[in-house]
Amino acid sequence: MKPLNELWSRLAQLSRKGPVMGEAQRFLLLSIIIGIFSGLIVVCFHMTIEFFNWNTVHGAGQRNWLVVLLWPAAGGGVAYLLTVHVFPSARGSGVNFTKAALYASDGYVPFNGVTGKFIASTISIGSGNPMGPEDPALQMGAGIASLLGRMFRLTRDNMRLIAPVGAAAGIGAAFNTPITAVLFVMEEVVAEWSTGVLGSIVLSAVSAVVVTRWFLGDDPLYSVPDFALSSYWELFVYAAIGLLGGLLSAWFTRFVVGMRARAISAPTAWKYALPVLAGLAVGAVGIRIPEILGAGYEGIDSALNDRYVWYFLLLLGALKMVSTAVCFSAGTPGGMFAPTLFIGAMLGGGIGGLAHEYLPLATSPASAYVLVGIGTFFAGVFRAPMTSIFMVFETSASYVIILPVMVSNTISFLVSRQLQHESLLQIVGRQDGLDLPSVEEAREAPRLSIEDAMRKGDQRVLRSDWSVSEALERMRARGAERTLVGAGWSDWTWIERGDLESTVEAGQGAESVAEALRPRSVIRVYPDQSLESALWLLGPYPILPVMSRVNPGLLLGTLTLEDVERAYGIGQDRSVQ
Amino acid sequence: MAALFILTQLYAGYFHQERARLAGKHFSQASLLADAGDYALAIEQYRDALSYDRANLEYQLGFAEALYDSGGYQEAGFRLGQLRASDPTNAVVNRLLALLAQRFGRANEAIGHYRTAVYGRWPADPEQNRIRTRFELIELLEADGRNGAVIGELATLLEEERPDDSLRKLIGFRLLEAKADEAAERLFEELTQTIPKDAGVWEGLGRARLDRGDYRSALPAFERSLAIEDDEEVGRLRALCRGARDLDPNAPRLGLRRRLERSQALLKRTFAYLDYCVNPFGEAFVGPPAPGSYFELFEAARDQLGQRLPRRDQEQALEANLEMVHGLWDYRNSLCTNVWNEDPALLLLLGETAR
Repeated sequence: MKPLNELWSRLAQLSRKGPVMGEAQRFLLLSIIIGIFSGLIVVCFHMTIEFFNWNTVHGAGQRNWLVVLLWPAAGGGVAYLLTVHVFPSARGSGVNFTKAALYASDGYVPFNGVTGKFIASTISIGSGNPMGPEDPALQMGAGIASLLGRMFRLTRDNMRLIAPVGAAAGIGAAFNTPITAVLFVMEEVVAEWSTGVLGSIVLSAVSAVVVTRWFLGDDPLYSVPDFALSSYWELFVYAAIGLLGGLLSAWFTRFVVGMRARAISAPTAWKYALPVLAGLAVGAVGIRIPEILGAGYEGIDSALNDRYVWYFLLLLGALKMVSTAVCFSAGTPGGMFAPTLFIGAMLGGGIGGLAHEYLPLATSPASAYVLVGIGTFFAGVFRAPMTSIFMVFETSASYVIILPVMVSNTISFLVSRQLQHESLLQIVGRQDGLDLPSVEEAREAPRLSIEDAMRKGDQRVLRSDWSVSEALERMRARGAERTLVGAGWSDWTWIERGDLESTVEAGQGAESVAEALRPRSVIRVYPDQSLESALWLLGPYPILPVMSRVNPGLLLGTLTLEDVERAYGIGQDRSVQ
Repeated sequence: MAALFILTQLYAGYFHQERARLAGKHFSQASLLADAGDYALAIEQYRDALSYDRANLEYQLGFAEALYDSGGYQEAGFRLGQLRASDPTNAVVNRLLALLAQRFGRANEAIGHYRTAVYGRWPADPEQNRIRTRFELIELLEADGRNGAVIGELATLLEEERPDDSLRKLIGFRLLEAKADEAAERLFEELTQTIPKDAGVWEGLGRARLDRGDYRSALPAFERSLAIEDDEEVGRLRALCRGARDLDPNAPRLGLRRRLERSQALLKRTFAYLDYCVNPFGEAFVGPPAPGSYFELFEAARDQLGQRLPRRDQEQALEANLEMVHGLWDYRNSLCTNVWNEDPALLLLLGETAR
């Protein structure tokens, strides 16, 4: 590691000294490097899981009941031990780790977590536990980005943003879907983003996906049959899938959170036993129903190809839901992305198959409902409706599907949010001692705009052709300390009462304001701008003209610090309960 | 980064190699099981092979075939649909899709798939597969009652595939079934030049001529066929031709008297045939209402038969007999609707003379 560190340090020094590359350009370049590194690591992660899986419960092993019974238990137990004693940073959700890096630890994600997630998740998922590799991949991306950011000695602000950039690379490489990766990070991790951040996230996700496709090919996660919306009446069936997806995702969140709370408060010996017992339960079910083992992409693939009847699809969804909840609560390493996709797919297929059998309006094959259902449960659990919509759109490459997916996923998201106010990751984060902000809440938090605080009209305005004495008189009458000065109501400056007083004392009271005083420029603001943005301006400009956007010469009002304080309730008499 | 890239490249190389090995192992087992007809186990092995290498078209195709053969039509249809999307000109995929569409009664869709299969890309033995597929298409067209399309397909088959003689013989019989008698006759005539010792070719030629109503030229073809290989059906056809010949007053090298006798015999057979239609079971039966003109003609013919004519009037009588035969025969379609007497030789002869 030492020579590598030295190399990076030199590169970082060079790039800092280089006259051609500023911080923003270096950040963009680093995003590509992060994408490539994350892509390489995630490719290795993917292949290692596969190797592990081939040698345990896959293929021939799948037909040996003892192998299927014992491997998930052994894998879960060993992986748990590793996360407790060797890689403590590999415990918990990768999304929460990334958010913690962004909001709390100045972009620091321990590299120990990358190694730990790689090894522990490989053992746990490879041995058949029903978890997904995407969340670990996301954390690996964030960890690699954080390491590279430290090597490149980024500024504090950029260091904070580097973890989400890496997370996008990790998830993009895991899903092989760049748009989904970008949207997920935007929707779930970064509440506020600038064009520069978006550019970096896109670059890292794209470079990671390119690397993945270079090594693993550009096949999608599952083979998607042609989709056609046979009748618009079917949208009711898709709405039903969304409704049930929302209900079940809310229930699933509560179930997981409740089980996890119990597991956390269990005695230490039990904590070690739980992943083993969960693995045994999974293995016992997996003997008869191997579809629930592992991430479940093969199961989704089979469902998409109409292999199962509707009631078996519902059974698979239910079993996966319970087994994933049990393993996740027990502390078995691995993510929840793939299982939620599996559950949604089975749920969609089950309801679609049922409708297909009993309702004349449902004429599409069951596989169409499987495809639409894939993102439904995900939207409800992770509260990322846009990601879920684009994920299905990106994997199916079908434009026709967008309509039913939008209906289904949005309903699921809304129903789930109505029944369960906090998302699964948020509660899990709190259980792990991380009180992280919810992007959803941040997005929807009430915001004051200038319109809410400004004083309407022109009471604080003087004309520049008035005499200084007249202007001073008016200001005294108003009790104003500063005022705007308008020349023809289009060019705005501002003056203080003290300026007028000293001018009068100097015997220039008869002169016009424009002649006697040197004008001070102001910046125009508009009523729709946020009050926070106006606060930045109120330092150098104590009074701001609020102008109309559609009629640039029209003054709508004025804004001062007092107005802002009044709008926020500062200085008012209030008692804290 | 370069070191990690190289390491990943090496690792990925090993990964793909191992994946291909494991997938290949399962695929081989699956193929053996499918060949042995054990489709359930073959499908399991195919699934295993695909779980290692999902993108492999050969595995996907084998799997879809096994699903089809085992009756898993629904899943087979989906798998084949995907295969077609990724490889639209794959003839095997299109043929299986055609068979599936045919099975579910979607004839037009099946015809489309068959045509794509015929002109598509066959991974092995393209000529034989194309011909087999064309015949499957022809059978579908026949079953769907599209006779013109059948003839067109057979003509295209002859034109494009350059079939060998045995296949051309088969095509000839298909043409006969499709009522393309002239085309069939031409084809069999050609075949009698190339494989003159094939009884089937002569039989085909005889049938083609017979279908055209030319029993005279059909007869030697049947006789030639029987000389090469005895066959009950061909023997029956020869007897039919001989029956028609023995009844034919216009047969070559017959004297006037002999022709007159035959015309009288023909008139009697026509009487008998039509009488059976009008009154098959004696007086009690009320047959279809015959027009008065028929009875007039009937009585006139009977009178004609009863007359003893001098030699100079015999030729005139012969013409009159034949005219009456045809006059009476014209009533056949209206009279012989419910019951009729079987007289294939008469039918053959009058059918020909009517032509």
